[in-house]
Amino acid sequence: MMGEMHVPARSRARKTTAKTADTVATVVLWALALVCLAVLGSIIGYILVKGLAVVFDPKFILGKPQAINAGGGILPFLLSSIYLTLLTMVIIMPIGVGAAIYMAEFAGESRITRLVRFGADSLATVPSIVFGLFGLALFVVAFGMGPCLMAGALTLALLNLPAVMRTSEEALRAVPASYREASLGLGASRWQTIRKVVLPSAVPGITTGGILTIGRILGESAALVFTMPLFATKAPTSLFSGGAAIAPNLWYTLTEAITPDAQRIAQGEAAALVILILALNLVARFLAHRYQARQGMVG
Amino acid sequence: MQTDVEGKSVAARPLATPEPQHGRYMISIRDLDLFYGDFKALEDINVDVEHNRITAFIGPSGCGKSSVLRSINRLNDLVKGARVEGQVFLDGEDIYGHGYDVVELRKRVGMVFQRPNPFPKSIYDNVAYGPRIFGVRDRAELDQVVEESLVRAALWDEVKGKLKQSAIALSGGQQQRLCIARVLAVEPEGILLDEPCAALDPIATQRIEDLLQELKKTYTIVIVTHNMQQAARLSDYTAFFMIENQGDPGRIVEFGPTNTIFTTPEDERTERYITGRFG
Ligand SMILES: Nc1ncnc2c1ncn2[C@@H]1O[C@H](COP(=O)(O)OP(=O)(O)OP(=O)(O)O)[C@@H](O)[C@H]1O
Ligand SMILES: [Mg+2]
Repeated sequence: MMGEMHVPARSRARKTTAKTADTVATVVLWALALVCLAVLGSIIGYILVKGLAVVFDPKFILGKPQAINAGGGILPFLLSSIYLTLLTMVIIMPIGVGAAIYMAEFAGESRITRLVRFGADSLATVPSIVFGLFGLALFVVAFGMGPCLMAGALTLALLNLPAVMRTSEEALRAVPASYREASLGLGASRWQTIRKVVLPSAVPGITTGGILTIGRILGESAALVFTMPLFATKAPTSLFSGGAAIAPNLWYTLTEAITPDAQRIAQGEAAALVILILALNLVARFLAHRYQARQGMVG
Repeated sequence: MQTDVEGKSVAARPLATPEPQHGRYMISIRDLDLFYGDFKALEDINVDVEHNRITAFIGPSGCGKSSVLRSINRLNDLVKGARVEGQVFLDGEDIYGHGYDVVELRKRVGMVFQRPNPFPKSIYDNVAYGPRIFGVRDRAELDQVVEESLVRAALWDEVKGKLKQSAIALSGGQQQRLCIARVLAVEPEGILLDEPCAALDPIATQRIEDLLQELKKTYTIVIVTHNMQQAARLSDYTAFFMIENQGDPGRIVEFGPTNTIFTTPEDERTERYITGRFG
């Protein structure tokens, strides 16, 4: 209070304006954030309100799908989705991260690398139904796999590879040059530096990209419409056997199914899908966190 | 030979001998020019670094002291557009010569950087990094190297209870000492230190200076410092760097025994700098 008496009037006025602007900005930004949250919350809320009662019925979650009668379950769809996610990630991560290491650490800056990057960015914007058609032509027909787990996983791998490669590349590039200098300066080779310093430092960024990809795989339906069965009463028993993932089956149930309780099943599937995605997200995040703590990456 | 307005030789090199004497000097830099893209950052650098002595680089900010250090263990290779002309001999072999083993070079000449750069790993893993790279797996042996290195770098007492904690959580001064310990664990023949005490308090600085005096018995040391007293106290030889005008390359104005540089410098610019009258 005493100090403020010496502040000249003009500066005091400016201070007041700054304070008002600050308050207004805070309120506006808060409101915007609230709108986003509200939209998200109402979507998830709607799905859960409609579906939770269905999901928590053990006959539904652990039951066998029905093609004609009411009362079908979704366990094989859930299992198919989990197998599909795992298989796709197993295909995609080594290739995507490997390519990213090459691009970030070895390729340097040339017209070819710029072209590859441009190609990857363009591919990432191609509608997934196009990948579905491509998967149909190549894996299902030309390779003679028929619609199956592997055909679906390979199609999803193609669909998501560009994004995985690019996010991993960015994560690798974001590793400070000073880490590389420190490692090389100690007499480590380039490959040792990548393996022991650069890659571990990029793991959180790479994991974030991986988590987003898991979400996209679980939610993908268009790319699977032609490459995996839309309905199957059993989960895949081998890499090349059929099995329907939950997201494309959700679409099928709502549009084609003739079971009398199709609506109810779709609501349950939607809720199960949301829960599955959230759960996988949490697990991946937990693992990434534990990794960082183990490595001593956080203070 | 280039001359300045008074007709005096600019690139005075009272100590650097025309032909490198390999027995006495570990590192001999000859007519080194360094470019970052089109910008010439260094010109006509000639320095001999004697075995088991401390050589100090002093000079105003931006005159290329760090650049010379980075040229000595070829870290400028990593900077896009950086180019070197001239020679740097390590025990008589030109490190910029065709087919020279850069990894081997960096094992022999370690570097402590101007800005502390610990890995985002635990304190232990930072110090053990070098030995592990060279294949030390034995836990007891690693434990011993880590402890010894941390003790020598005057950090052990502060971290001995928390070796598993992240190095990122250490203070700036502690991080710098950790980086020194990390280099010591590799046991190089020469150590390049770029302002190692810039972020340290007087006590830690004193400990590092004592350490360097001790290390000098077995190691060859080059240190960049902005602290004139430190250079005077610590070093056996001093090179004074300067840039004439903005945009000019950095040059060595004077190089000689620290005693001479600080008591009877040949060049009046050296005198003005060390007495704090410019730069
Ligand atoms: N990677 C780089 N790319 C381009 N220019 C650079 C690079 N590193 C240094 N320079 C330039 O080279 C000159 C010398 O820089 P250097 O860092 O070697 O100076 P210094 O003597 O170590 O300064 P300080 O005492 O402030 O650390 C400066 O003009 C700097 O801008
Ligand atoms: Mg510097």
